[in-house]
Amino acid sequence: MIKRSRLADCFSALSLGVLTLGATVALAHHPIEAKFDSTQQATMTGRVTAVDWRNPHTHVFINVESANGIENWAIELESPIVLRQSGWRDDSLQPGDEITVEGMRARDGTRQVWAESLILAGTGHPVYTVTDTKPAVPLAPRPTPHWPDGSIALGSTNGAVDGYWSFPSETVLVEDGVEVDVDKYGMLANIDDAAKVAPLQPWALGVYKHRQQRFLQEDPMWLNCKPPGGPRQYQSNLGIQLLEDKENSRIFALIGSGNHNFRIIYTDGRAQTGLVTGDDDNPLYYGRSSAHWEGETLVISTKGFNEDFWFSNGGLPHTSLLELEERFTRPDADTLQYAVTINDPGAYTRAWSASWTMQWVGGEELPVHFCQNNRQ
Amino acid sequence: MRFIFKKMAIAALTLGLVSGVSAQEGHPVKGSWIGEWEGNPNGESILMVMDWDGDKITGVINPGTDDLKIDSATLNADDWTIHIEAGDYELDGKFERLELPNRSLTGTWKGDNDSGSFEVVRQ
Repeated sequence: MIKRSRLADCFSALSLGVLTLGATVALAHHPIEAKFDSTQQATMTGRVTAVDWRNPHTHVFINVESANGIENWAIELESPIVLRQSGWRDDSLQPGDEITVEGMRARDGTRQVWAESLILAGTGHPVYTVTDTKPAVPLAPRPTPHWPDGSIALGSTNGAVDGYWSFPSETVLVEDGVEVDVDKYGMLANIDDAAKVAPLQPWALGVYKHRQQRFLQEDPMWLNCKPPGGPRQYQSNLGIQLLEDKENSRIFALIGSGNHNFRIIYTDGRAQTGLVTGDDDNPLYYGRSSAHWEGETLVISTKGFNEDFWFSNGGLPHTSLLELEERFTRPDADTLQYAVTINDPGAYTRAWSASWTMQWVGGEELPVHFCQNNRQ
Repeated sequence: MRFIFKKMAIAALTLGLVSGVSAQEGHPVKGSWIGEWEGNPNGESILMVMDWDGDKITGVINPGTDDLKIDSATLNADDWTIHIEAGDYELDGKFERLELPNRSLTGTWKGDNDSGSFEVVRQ
């Protein structure tokens, strides 16, 4: 009887532990390198107990036999959207399957791994690998689509198949002409390169280095689902969709990253002020944007930003003095050229510029990714 | 049981502190800071309101009829220390938990005839 009671207690404690671990990993949304250490690699073989197919990150839970008995490990993967784009489904792995995992260990020492390779034992086939889903670009560039009035179309024209822009050529904001070793999440290989990235004021350089040294773990876009305002909205593989409302002289930018919200770019020449009822003192995540055409280039002026978000992957700071000049051109149907001039005398010593391209993903809507724990 | 209550109290306090503080990802001094400067005969409560205009730190201590305008403030971003001069007072402090909205500033103050330590937390 005593043995059963203790066993029950142990089981209850273990269940609570597993539930707690599950809740922790399921709720956590984070930059990968904030949680996992690329210098601490792990390889393990275990049997699948559950697959949690859930935004923002999929988890596979496995039991691994060790000298200490059975250990429960949580294997973390990309979001269901990204895995689905590579052809995987929630039932691609089943409880009971034996898998071998290679990946990065969690920095905090808990039994969690970010999977870089997941192999199904017996078949030797990889599972839940992310393949390059970038659409093939035609050998001969397709002509830029135009509206009936002759202006270029930044998205789909009326009656055309939907599409959006993704696969930015750069995912990190670095001044044009500067060469630094930085990964796709914005982590510098060498912290001494921080001052090269942009003309930072001393305090801003200190903040940038502090964020880098903490592996970007306080990034509010991941941690609190804050919007990716400024140029960051164009540096996500989750894409951006530009819907031109010609009748009402505005462009809606539907943003795939962050929390799937939107920004309005007015093209009627209005002043960048707030509402008639007055909210000029209410700075915004995406600022207030007014745009005009210069030939085939859309020039957008934006100001009125708040300071509650990071405007770049990698953690470059900004202040409410930030003003952006963004320039869009579409040299062919499948390419969007984006150039931005950043003028923030509160954080930088001078105005500076960065530019990159995005690729058209035709035939579908923007992927529905929400920064929350909704099942997809 | 007492241990559990203590843990719960700490967790509740932490949640309360975090949830009650507005985010601030710009200049780290910007905002309202509340705390105490120990031994100040004029009152040990201190409220500092600081801002960054792109060139210098501005602000006021204990806003009201007897407030003190911050005459100068120098931030060293290498070690996150700050020297503040306001009227007859000088404060030297160091920022802690810089990455959090409820970061703190601790250090020492001195006036004409008095001195002591201070600690303020960003609200």
